[in-house]
Amino acid sequence: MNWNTFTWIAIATSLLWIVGAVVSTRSRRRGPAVAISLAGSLLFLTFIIGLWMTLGRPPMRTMGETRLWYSLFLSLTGIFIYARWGYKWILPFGAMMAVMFVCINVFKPEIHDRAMMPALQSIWFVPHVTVYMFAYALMGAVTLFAIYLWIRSSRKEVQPEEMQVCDALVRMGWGFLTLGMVMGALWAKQAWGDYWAWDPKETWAAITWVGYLLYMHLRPRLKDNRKAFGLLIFCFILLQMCWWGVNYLPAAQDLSIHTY
Amino acid sequence: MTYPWSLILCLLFVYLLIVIYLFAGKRVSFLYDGKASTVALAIVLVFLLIFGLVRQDGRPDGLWGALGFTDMAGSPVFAAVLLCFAGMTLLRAIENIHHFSLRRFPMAFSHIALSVILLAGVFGKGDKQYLTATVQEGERVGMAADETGKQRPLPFQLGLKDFSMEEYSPRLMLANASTGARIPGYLTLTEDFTSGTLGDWEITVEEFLPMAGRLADSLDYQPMQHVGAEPAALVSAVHRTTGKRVKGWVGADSFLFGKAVLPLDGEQALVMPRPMAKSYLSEVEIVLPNGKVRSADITVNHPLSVGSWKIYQSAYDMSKGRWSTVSILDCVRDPWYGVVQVGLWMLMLAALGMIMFAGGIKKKAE
Repeated sequence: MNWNTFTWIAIATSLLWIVGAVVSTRSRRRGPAVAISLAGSLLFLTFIIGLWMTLGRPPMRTMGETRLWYSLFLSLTGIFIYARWGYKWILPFGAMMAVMFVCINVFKPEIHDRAMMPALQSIWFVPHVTVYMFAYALMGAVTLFAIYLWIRSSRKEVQPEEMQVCDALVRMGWGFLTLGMVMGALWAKQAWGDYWAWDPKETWAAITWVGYLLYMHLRPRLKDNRKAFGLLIFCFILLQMCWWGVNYLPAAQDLSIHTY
Repeated sequence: MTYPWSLILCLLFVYLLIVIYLFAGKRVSFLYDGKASTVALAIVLVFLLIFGLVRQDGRPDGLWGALGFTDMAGSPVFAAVLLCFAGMTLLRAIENIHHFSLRRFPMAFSHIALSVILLAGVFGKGDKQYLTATVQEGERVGMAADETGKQRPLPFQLGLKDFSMEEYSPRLMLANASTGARIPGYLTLTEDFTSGTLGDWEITVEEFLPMAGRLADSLDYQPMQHVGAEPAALVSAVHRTTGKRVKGWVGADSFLFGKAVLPLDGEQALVMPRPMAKSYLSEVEIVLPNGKVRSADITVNHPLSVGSWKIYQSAYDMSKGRWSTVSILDCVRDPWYGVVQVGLWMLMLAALGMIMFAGGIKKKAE
C-alpha cells in the first residue's frame, strides 16, 4: 500500500462517505448511513495501516500524512455524533470536510518522506499525533456545528440541548488537546531535557488550549449564543495557526523544531 | 531565585493562599470565581497571542522589544501574569478540594494539576541547570557551557569513548542550478537501484559507491574505506522531451572530498544531499567524585541518569556528519521536574475524565 494506490482508495472511500451522508438525510433509520460511512472509514484505516507497514514507520510525519488521520477522525467523529444524537446535517458536513482533506492529498501530495529523524523515534510519537488529530477533528466538527446553528438561528431558535452538544464536544476535544499536550511535554523531557521550551508550535498549542478553556469557563455566563459561536470559530482559527499556520508565520520562521 | 529560597517562597505562597481561602472565605471569592477565571484566561490568552505573534529573537528595539516581549519566556511581566494565574487556579483548586465531588473530579484535577505545573514552572525556573558539554572522542570534560556560553563545573567528569551514527540511504534530488534550492521529489539509492524519474529527467545509476572518495587531482570517485568517505554515484540523465543526455558523478558533501553536483541544463542540477541521520550514539564514561567509573550509551530519546542529573544526546559536529569525533551532550538538572511530572500525569487523568464524562451535564439536564 503506497501513495500510488491512494487515489483509488480515496475515490472508493469518498464515495462511501458521500453515499452514507446522502442516506443519512433520506433515511429515518440511522443504521444504514452509519454502516456505509463506517465502511468508508474502515477502508481508509486499512490504507493507513498498509501505508504504515510499507513505510516501516507511522505515517504521521508530513503534513499530508497528518491529513490522512484528520480525514479518518473527522469521519469517525461525524459517525459518532450522528449515531449518538441523530443530527442529519453532521454526516454531510463531516463527509464534505473529510473528502476535502482527501482531495488535497490527491491533488497536492506533500513529499512523503521515508526517513524519520532520531528525535521522532519515540513511543510518544504515535499517541501524541493521534490524540492531537482526534482533538482537531472534534474541534472541526464542533466548529461546523456552531456555524450551522448560527446560520440556522435566524429561522429556528437554538435549543439548549444543541448548545449542550457543542459544550460536550468542546470538553471532549479539550480533553484530547490536553492529552496531546501532556504527552508532548513528557516526550520533550525525554528527548531534550525540557518539558516546555516555548517553541512556536508549543506556544500556539498553549494559545489554542487556553482559547477553548476560555470558552468552557465563559459558556455558563454567556446568554447570547452567537458570542459562543463566534468564540468557537475564533478558537478554531487559533487551532489552524497551531496546526499549519505556524509554518508560514514570519514570527516563527527558523525558530520551530516542529517543521514538517 | 534558587533553592532554598525558591522552595520557601513557593510554600509560603501556597500557605498564604490556603490561609486567605480559609479565613477570608467568600469575601475573596471574587478572586477565583467564574468571572475572575474568564478575565484571567482572557489576559493569559492575550499575552500568549503576543508571544506567538511577536518574533522571539530577544531584540531590545521597537515597542515589543522595549516592553521585553521579544523574549517573553524571560519577561518578568509574563512571569507575573503566570504567577497570578497560578494563584487564582490554586485558589480554585483549594475550593475544589474543600468541596470535593467525584462527579466534578476532572475539573478539580485540572485545577490542581495546572496550579502545580505553573507553580513548579515559575518558582523552579531558577533551580534548573541546563548545560551543554562538547566532548571529543578519547577526552573527558568536567565543565559545560550554560545558556550564555559561560563554562560551569559538572559534578562528574564526562568522557566520550566513541561517537557513531547510522544513516538512511542516500538520495538523488534535483536542485535549482543557480540558487541550489532543492526541488521536491527524490530517488533513494540502494545497491539494487538502477533507474528512476526526477522531474523531466530519466535517471540511470551506472555505478553506486556507498563509501567513496576521490583523489585531489581527480573528478572521479573510487571506493574508499577512509575517514570522510561519503556515498557517490555515476549517473546518466536523459531529458524526456529534448533527449539531452548528461553523464557524470554525483557525490554527497564530504568534509574531506567536497561534493559533486551534476549540471543538467542551465536551470537544474542533480545533487546528492548528505544522508540523513537515522540514529546516533555516544559511548560515554562517567567518572564520579568518588572515583568510580561508569560506562553507558546515550542516544536521542534515551538519556542517561547520573544522580540528580540527566545527560541527553543533543548534537554532533554537523560539518563532519557520520565522521564526527565530537558529541554534544546536554547535562540537565531539574529538581522540580518530579513535581511537574505529578502535575502532568494528574492533568492527563483530568483530560481522560473530561473525555469520558463530556456529556455528563446533558444527562443531568435530561
